[in-house]
Amino acid sequence: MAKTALNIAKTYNNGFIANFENNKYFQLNKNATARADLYFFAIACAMMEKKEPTTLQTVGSIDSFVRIEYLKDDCPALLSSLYYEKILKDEPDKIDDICNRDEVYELAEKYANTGFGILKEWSESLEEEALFYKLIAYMDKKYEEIKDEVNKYI
Amino acid sequence: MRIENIELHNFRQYRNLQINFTCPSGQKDLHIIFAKNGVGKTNVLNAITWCLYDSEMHLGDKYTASPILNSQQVQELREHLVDEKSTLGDSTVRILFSTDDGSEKIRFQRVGKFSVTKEAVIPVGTEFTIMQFKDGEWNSVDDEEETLSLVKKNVPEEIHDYIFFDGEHLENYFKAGQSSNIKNGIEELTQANIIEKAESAFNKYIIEVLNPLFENSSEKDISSAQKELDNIQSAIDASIASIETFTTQIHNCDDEIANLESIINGHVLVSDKTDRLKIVGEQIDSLKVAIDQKKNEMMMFVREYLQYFAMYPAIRDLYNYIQEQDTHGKLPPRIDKFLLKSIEEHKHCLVCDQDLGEHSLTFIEQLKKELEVSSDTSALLNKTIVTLRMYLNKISTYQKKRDFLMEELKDLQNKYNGYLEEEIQINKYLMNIPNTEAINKAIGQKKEYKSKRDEIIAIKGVEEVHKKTLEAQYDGKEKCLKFLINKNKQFEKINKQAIFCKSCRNILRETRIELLAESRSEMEKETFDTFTKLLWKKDTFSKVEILEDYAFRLLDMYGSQTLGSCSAAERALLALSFTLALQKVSMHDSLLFIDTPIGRVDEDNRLNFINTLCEISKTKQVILTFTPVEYDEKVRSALLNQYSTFTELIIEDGVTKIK
Repeated sequence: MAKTALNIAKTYNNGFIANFENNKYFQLNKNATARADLYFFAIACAMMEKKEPTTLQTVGSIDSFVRIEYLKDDCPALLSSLYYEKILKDEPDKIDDICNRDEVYELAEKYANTGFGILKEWSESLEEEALFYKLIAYMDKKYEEIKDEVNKYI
Repeated sequence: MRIENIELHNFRQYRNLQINFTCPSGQKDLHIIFAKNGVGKTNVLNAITWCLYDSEMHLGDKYTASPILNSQQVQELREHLVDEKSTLGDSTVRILFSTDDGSEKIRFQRVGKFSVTKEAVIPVGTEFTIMQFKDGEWNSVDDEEETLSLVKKNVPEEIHDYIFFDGEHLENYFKAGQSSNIKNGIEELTQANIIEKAESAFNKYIIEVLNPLFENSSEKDISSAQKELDNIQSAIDASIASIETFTTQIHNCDDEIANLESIINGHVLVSDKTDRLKIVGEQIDSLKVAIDQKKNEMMMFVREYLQYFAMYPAIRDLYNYIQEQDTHGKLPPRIDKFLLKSIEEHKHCLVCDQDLGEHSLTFIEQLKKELEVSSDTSALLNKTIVTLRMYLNKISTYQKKRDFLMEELKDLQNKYNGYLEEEIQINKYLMNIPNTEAINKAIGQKKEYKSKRDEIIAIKGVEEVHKKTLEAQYDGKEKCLKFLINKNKQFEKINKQAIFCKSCRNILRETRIELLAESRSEMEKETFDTFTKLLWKKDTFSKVEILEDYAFRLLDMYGSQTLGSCSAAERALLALSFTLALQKVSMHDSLLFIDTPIGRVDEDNRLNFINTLCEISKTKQVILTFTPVEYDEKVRSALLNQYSTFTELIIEDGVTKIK
């Protein structure tokens, strides 16, 4: 049966993520950030820190976090990119696997939960403002590195 | 006139006591009565006014005051009440006045009779007697009219305020709305009120006797003309009364404004600053919210863009892959299947708006087939590349958007910090102001008074125009009446009387107005001269003005009213100067009895004020009462060797005695 939701480790969902509702850390509470956006933010954190993903089972029992039907129109493209980069890039013949969405979602879950681990650490050690400038500094550096390349596509 | 002595018998806390105010020649006629609170200093003043005017004018509250009859005397009388239901007791006060050279003496005595029962002390009545010492012998004055005239001549009740002072109220003599004090004083002492009485008598005769003769005459023309004239006169009188009321109201506003200015003095910005503080506080609150919102916006921006940057290699690589496939024709063309179906059905191109031929229809048929057979992968990639391009676009605009958001935040924070700094500065300013609330209130009240004053001035202007119109009407009607009366011989005699009475009334009126104007002007000069002579602070004031409604003005060097901003000591001194001037101008040279003269005077000015009173005592009798608190070491030293008598009163077993 096809996947109907993107999952999260229960320990995260009931722990620091639940706390966001009170501490409104980085505006990651439900009212300010949709669950799908938080999920993708977690994936981005994992990518940013270049952490290899762990299998979801290693973080214990799981909760469903985002229903697939609630993903925004542009979300599949981001997940496809991740899947292409991590799985298909060196085996372009298997490009048709990109249509196997369950596999794409499973890979996303791994990265997302790795990202949640990072987010948990940040939320416990960094003030909002410090995190803000950390991420801005990262993007500024990245932008300097890629801006010429990106402009070629535009 | 000066007081030689006062005798009090069974008057309040006094059983039998005589206070002498002898003045050896060459000494200042200054006398001190010293006592603690509650011993009976103010009751000496009450005894004087009771004796002279049958009224205790310095009682705290006459409705709750105990009876005049001494309480021990009441007790003794009650002890002897065996079968009798009541007995009589009496209180007596005697005051011996003399002329400065001692050649004439006059003794005023009042005996109060009281019916004492076991439950109550009921006043029955008083007996007032006067003995006069003239040409070496004492004579009793029996005639009531002569008695009253002697009181009026020596210590007139109307001006008792200018002889017997309560120092606690001295500074209030010239406060707003107190012009009746000045009016009574000037009118009484210049005897303008006598002229006014004569003027009223003529006026009454004209209105009540002569005018009705014309009004009730059988000559209808004359009767109606007189009636009309009377009506116009009534309207003119009402208009004059209104104008006078408006003038007084304007002067009262001026006084209030001057008083308020003394509170506001130097702190005019308080109201603006307080308003500004409120606005700044609101701005700070709204900027706090705006900054929080901006920070949230920036956090969302960071959260969104981090995905594009962190996943940039993945986005780029997939984008490149799809583009490459597309370039090599490995992806189907991006054509809408449904559009093709519609074109085929209508046999008309919906893009170039032309009918399709057989060849074109075959081509569409082929295209449709190709699309049907294209893989899901191709469709997904086709869709994906559009989104990936959007991501790349977003990355390219990162710097611009980031800088814009940061600039906005910085701008808000600068504004916020600016307002915070302003708030600190305003609070610093307001903290240095002793009573911000009182100043704000005063500023608000001053605005109200100013606008009220402007309104009254406008109404007064309208009333003055109205009065002029009435006067013109009156003149016209009077001419008409005169003409009618002159034609009719039966009114010749009445007319002559009317002309005479009107002429007398007008002369008296003009004389009174002139006399008062002259007295006012003399009083202004004399008060100011006395004030500046006695004042310790020179070159501060330029003029005293007494306006026609007796509003009092003390002008500074720039011609502004300063009464409100004077110290209590200066105001008390001004009251004294006015009194001395009044006595001098009216040639009514009385003593001064001041109860607790420095009670309201601040410590810095106490010695100045005492020295002034010593100076006054060179030319007239001055009696002062002090409490131990007022009579401190400095005052004691200042008065040492200055006074003729020093009487210390003490209370023993409820009775006041001389120590």
